[in-house]
Amino acid sequence: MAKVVAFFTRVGTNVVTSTRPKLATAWKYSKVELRPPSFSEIPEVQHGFQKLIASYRTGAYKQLTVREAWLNTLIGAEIFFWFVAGECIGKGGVIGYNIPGAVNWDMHF
Amino acid sequence: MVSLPAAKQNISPLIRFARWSALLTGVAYGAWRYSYLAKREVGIQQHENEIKEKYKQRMAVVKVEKENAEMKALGQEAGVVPK
Repeated sequence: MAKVVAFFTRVGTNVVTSTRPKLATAWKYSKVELRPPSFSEIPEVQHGFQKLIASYRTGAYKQLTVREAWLNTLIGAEIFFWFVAGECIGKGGVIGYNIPGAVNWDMHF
Repeated sequence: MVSLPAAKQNISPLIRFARWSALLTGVAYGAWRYSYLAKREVGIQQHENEIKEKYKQRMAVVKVEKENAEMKALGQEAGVVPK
């Protein structure tokens, strides 16, 4: 029993020491990328959205370089993935809507 | 070991606003859809329970008949006269 406790405490401390720098890196990037826009930045949000619509209306989006278009596509995909993550939180599961009585996870031979 | 680039300090507020609004919209949509499907599920469960009841009753009759036929066949093979 003492060996089991010692084993798990050792594993736990190893996990903490190995993930702490990774968490620090993740926090460093999340702090700038995911900072919610403050109230003073809302006009900038509006301007940015109008610029998007204007570039679509004037056809200026066709003058983007392929690299810029690819980066914009990645950003759009990432925003869609945030929506999917929010949906997973709202429905309380990852794989599907686990409504009791409606879902059967047994193997069907 | 390649070092990671420095964190970009001026992420466009439109992008940040879009990320947060997508997340919150997703949570709301997931919760709404779950409640919608759960409500529909009540009627579907009732209907399926009725069908399962009928199937169980039908299968009970069929099972009794099959068992009797099997026992009779076994009896004939074993030379036992059924009562």
